[in-house]
Amino acid sequence: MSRLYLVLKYGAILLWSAFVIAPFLWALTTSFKTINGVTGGPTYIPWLQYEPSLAAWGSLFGATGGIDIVQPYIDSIVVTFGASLISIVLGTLAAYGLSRFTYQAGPLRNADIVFFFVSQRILPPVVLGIPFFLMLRFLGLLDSVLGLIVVYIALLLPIAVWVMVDFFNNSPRRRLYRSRRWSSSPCSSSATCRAAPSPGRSDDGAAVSLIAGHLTLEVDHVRHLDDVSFTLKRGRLHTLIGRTLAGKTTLLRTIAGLQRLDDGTLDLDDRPFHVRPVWERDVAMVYEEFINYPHLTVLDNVAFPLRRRGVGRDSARALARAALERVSLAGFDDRRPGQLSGGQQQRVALARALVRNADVLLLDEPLANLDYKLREQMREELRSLFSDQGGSVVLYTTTDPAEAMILGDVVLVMHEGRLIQVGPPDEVVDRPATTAVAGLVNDPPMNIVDGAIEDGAVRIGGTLSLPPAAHMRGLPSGRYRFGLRAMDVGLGSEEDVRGSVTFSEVSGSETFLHLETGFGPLVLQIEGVHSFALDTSVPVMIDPDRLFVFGLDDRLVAYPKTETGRRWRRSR
Amino acid sequence: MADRERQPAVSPEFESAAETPARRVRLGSPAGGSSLRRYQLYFLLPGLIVLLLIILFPLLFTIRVSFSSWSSSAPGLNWIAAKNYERLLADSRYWESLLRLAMLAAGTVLIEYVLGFGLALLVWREVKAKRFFRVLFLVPMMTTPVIMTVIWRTIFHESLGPANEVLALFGLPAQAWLTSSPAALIAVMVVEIWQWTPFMLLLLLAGLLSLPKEPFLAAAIDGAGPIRTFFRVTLPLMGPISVGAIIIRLIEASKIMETVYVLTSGGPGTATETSSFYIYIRGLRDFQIGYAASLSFTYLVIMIVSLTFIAKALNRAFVGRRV
Amino acid sequence: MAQITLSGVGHTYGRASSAEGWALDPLDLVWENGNTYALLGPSGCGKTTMLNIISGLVKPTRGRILFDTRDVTNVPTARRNIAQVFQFPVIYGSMSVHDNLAFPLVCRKWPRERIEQKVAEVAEVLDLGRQLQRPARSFTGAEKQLISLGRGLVREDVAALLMDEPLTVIDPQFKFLLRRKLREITERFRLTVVYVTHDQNEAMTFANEVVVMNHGRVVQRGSPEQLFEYPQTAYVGYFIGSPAMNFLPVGRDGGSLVFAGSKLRSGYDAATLPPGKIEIGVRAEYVEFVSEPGENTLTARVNGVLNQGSVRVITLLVAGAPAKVSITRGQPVPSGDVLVRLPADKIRVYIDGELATPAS
Repeated sequence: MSRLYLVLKYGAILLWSAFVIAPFLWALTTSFKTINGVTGGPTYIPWLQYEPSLAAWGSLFGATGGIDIVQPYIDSIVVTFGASLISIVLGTLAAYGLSRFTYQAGPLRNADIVFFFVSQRILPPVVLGIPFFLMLRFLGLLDSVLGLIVVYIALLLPIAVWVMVDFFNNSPRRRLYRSRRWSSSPCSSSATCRAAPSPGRSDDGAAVSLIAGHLTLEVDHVRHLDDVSFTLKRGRLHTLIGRTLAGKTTLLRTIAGLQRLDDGTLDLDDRPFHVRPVWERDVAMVYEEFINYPHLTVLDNVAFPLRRRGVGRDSARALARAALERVSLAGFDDRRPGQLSGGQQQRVALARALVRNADVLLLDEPLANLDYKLREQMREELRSLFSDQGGSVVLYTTTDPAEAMILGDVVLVMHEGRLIQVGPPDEVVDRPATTAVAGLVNDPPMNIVDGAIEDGAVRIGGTLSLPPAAHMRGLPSGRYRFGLRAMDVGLGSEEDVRGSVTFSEVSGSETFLHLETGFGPLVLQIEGVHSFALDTSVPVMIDPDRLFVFGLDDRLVAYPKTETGRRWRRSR
Repeated sequence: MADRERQPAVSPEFESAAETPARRVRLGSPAGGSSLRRYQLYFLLPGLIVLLLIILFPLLFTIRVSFSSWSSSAPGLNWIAAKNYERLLADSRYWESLLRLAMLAAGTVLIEYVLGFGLALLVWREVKAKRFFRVLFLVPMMTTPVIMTVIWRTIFHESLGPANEVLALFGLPAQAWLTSSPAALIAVMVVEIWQWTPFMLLLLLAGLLSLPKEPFLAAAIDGAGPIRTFFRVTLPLMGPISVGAIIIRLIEASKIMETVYVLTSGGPGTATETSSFYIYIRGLRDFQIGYAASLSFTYLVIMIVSLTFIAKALNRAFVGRRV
Repeated sequence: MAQITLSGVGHTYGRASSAEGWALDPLDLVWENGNTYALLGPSGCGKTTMLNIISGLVKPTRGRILFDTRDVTNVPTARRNIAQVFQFPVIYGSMSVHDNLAFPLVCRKWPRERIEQKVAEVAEVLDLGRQLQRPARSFTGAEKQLISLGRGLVREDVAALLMDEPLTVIDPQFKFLLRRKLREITERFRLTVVYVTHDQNEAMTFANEVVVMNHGRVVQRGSPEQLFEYPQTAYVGYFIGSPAMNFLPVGRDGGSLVFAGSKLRSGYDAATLPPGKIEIGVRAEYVEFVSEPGENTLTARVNGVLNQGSVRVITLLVAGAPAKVSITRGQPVPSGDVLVRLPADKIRVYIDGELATPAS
């Protein structure tokens, strides 16, 4: 940095400082002048050449008939506080409503209402000044404190609304939802209070519990939920797998009551559930983000939902301690969430959801923000954790097939707002109803190639001809789409088809090899970690016994046998 | 530039709020449970009612009054059709005050923006005692404009104030600050700049401090010097914030009133008379309330139209075309 | 491209005199010309400090940095001739793609024709040739990452390309494509690349050589295969691969390793191993279920089965010690008491958590 640059920089700073200070300095020096002192002084900078006098200060504080300065101060404090308080209360209320709900009055929507509020700041006071003047005069409030308060509310309310709308919009929506659900929970109407178990609860683990019928939601002509029906049972763990934006979160929000429905019903234990407002549904939810109360200790975080439901302090803490132990966080009672790692924070959130033993436990990709190794560890822990949660309906969403398989007793597959298959993990993997399911439940997604069965042979992509396998017997000749799981494709020997490596990817202890073959792209999975240079040519073994056959409408028509006849070759 | 740009306006956030669909409440027709609807209205109504009472009613009243000849001698809401508006069209003092206001507002805000940006850059990074300077620079904004203007009036006093002494230091002739035509306008501008540059500084500094540091590092790696970095990285990144800051200050500056009232009372003659001040004179000093109402309503319409165009133009210049 | 040498480089964010609390323990490390490296470790392990030392953002407390033979320890970032891709895509939003790519060259006052030629060349590689005139801000995150990479590629004097978790903020559906493109470009340009990440899979997919860091130290450096097959420490065995490597405590009996009373054959001679706590490490993929007892077979009890889709992970108790075996889908799932075999060539021996040298 050059010297000149520094001189200029600090010169500018000091110059501006002088400009800022000058009026104050001038006011201060003037305050020590008398009327005579002001006019004295022959040369320039006369304001430094005078006899200082305390006369001005004396008349301010002295008893010698000075002006009463106390009353104006009191008045201005009353005006300021009164007006601020009213503005903030009204502004916060309105802002909360505006940021959380969608209002509609004719063509006007939330943004217009906010603009309406804020527009007052754009109006020059003089425009409103005249009617205000007339109004205050009419009410006899001219020159009164009350009149000033009214004027200041007019000035402050728009600012309050603006600032608070911004605040609510930028604060995590879900934290506010959750606290609303709990804090406004009317525990006095004890039927919904978990402290006293609701009569509808059955301890029979397999009893029918939550039934959804024809759930439909359309927003701006996009179907977020498209005729979704399912049955969730208490004591079973259900995983909902689908891509981002498939409608998983919308479905959870619907069950929690945070989402309106266009159509459809929800019944819990044969009683309508969808008509209950959000705070009367006994639902616990865990989110992708680690959401905890930063100002409470870990123990109080977990005890909070119980305390809100009227459980005594000591028993709430005892239950919370037990829940923390279940998630392996014993001994962290007095820490704050901010002092914990991501994994630990998510455990706190889990404990808080578990401690309530709620009717419905919803988990929205709770492991998505965790590190790879932590995810691996947590999904095993969750498996045993949920097996103790016998009384709840548990629904867990994920995008990761392995997670869905490990955790799910039942897997629900969702795609573009529709439920496309429901079944035990092995069933959806071994008998995917459509190519879409096959893509979603396999990692990497199942290879799908177009081909045909003709002249007693399986033809793939026009270049490859294979003998038909036993499970294809009876299929009429014609065009089909063949599915091949990456794990079922092997590295072959010299006489097999060849593909050239476009990419090799390591996933855990497996290597996914992406190939370009004569019949299109193909991914195969090899056990262990291996490196392949790009464009290497490798032989590929395709076993017709492992082919899934889909119709041209993408529906499964034949699938390989699962248990026996495996011709798996270990890669090493 | 980076993906973390923020929009200054409020509306986009509402669009996103509408995308993650909250329960929709129609103020007229029933939807969802009726208990839900009422409960949601409770939030909005108190504020809305107060707003209607103290803003919408006066505004509508102003419009009505503007079609009357209400004055101190003949109070009352009679109907004189558009007579006030005809008079206003021929009122050159009003149009001059509008033009003066436009120049004054544009001039001060431009100077405030340049100075504010410069100061923000100065106290942004490695500066000794930067916390001290950051606070010091914000002090004027926290003072009461009326009181400070009184002090400024004594500073600009022709013979007693130090302003002319400072000029004398540089060998410049003394000015009749508050009583000669261009000088009085400059005095008003100086006071405004002193008072409100800190506001600009505050917004721009907050903007600078929230900028990601990667773009600057990337520019250094690409070999850009300080000037190129400013025009290619800092300024584009600060675009949305700049537009917001300038618009807010333009709105505030267009309401300029106290400064003029205290410093010059619009004088000498009408040399520093702005629209607000002229309307004030007509309405609350001469008590030609009907005419003043027509003046203020016209003023409001002009204000909204011109600010909308300015906002659009600024957005195009700083932020670039967006859908 | 250049070879980068860190010689005795160490860094502490506290006072230099205090010996403890190194964010980066003093070390010697050479990044060879034209190789792709991944710097892998959990957050706070010192990998970002290391990257910042190379880029010049952080001046190391001690040691020297050499680009080939030039000492750059005191050279600021701008004059180090490095290119960097950040976590958040950095582009000049006010400029077109073309001007973005040309920017480093314009700053270096290249003649116009050479700039045009070079920009066209790089745009071709990035598949951006047809979109050169579009404003850069209208692209997706993944494409913006490519543009910021392109600004490094146009320069001919770049000593190294540094990438700091470049995929973190990219949408999942573009992640795969970008990863593939990055791989393609680095292989084609033979760049010296240092790729910082906390994600095992990304590191192993991307790099020829992975440098694993933990607690401010380099724990192991090697090819992905080496890391998987021969983890240098128990930590690497845990960190690399899924499920983690199995570790079983063993004793010695003369020249053999003994587990739960049975001798194990391995590539190691127990007699020559240094003293300390001995464990054997075997990857879950290499443990086999067998029906007949034989060499290196152990009895175990099945404790649980995790169905992961393409593989199932069987959790076992082997003489009280937990272990995992992964079997591919379709293999019969065992239950109750079973026999497992540890292949002799897959057994690694760890003394106090460090990989021991096998007998020659």
